[in-house]
Amino acid sequence: MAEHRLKPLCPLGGTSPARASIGPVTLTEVVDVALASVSARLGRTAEVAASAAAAGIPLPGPGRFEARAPFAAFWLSPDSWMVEAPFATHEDSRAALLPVFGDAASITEQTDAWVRIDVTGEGLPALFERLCNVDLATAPEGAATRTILEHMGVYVVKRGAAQVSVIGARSSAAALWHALDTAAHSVF
Amino acid sequence: MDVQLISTTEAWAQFSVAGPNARKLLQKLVDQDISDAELPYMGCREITVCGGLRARIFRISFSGELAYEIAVPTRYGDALIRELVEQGREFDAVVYGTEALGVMRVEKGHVAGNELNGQSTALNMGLGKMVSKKKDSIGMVLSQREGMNDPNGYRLVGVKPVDPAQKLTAGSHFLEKGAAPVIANDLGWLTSVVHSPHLGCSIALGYLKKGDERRGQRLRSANLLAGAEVEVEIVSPHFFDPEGERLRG
Repeated sequence: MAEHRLKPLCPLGGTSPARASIGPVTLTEVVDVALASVSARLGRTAEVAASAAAAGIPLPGPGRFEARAPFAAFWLSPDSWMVEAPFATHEDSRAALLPVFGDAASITEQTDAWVRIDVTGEGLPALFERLCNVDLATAPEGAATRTILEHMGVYVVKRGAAQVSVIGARSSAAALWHALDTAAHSVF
Repeated sequence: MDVQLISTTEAWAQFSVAGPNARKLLQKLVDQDISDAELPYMGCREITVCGGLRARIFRISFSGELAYEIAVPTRYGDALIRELVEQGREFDAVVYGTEALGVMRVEKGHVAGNELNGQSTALNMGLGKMVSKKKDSIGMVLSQREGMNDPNGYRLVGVKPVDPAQKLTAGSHFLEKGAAPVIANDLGWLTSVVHSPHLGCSIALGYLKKGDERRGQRLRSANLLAGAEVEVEIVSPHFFDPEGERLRG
């Protein structure tokens, strides 16, 4: 993108992403990932799958997340996925994916609609069991599901045993951070 | 149907820019030509601003003047409004909020939430002519049912207090002079009330039975909960710039 003169802010309102450590866990505002939704158009599911495979973009099944650098994706609903890519190289997420899928899929830029807070460290199940109905202890790596966390609709993505992403509405960033921070102080 | 839907509400920070200098102000930020010819009323474009940031511009007006809405990815919303305020200094631009917006749309007679109550039809709102009977549309069959086309049914009206010092209350019901305040005599109600600085008094929109035939009539608007009544005059719902000259300039 051309050099323009406007300065961006992070979802929590700062010029740089927020971070906090509480006991063994760390909360990090993640702002270097671009997001796009991809929904296969009617009758073109196979075409979308083939295009994605050719481009190295994973399109996992229900309740799943998968990474295949530089892309990653998690399932949203039948024939719909949220695709992640590094912000530095794929800032205009829709423009990056249009050449891959053409008109076989509806693609929307989603980056700024969301706040992503990564929770890393030990003891994550003890934290999340207070917040939502995702059973982190038994969920496999790569589990990704929509759920309610402190009255807010979010996606919870278990990227690893010690790394969980909570992806919620950008306008609720402060409320989401507060919920995670408060629960962490309570547990640890 | 081959349609896919997803919300992108939060992905965009969107601002309304309204007033006779709206185009001049925006042209200072928008990298492309947004003259009347390039962006006529109800037009929309993908554009860039401030040297290349992708944005969207819509020429629409909720407040009834020359107006636009401009959207950038949310992370640039703060920067955009500051830029608009800075670039707007030469035009004495001011930031305005939803209260002012609410006043202006009532002055223009633009229906909004209070008038769109799940039972109101285009006919009720005075927009019946916008629904072409020559074409099919979603709701066309329902709209042709007898109950939806009652000539004595509710029509959108403007309401002014006969005594300009009196305040109107939304939800008040219309009654003829001398009519007992019972359901059988209920003629409708005031849907939205604002104080109009332009007219210097309280004004309202309302749904009134046979409202189209009652221009100039005086009725009572009764607030039974407070035991209060105000005498009102029925007027056009378009209190301000009824020909829309400012809108299309």
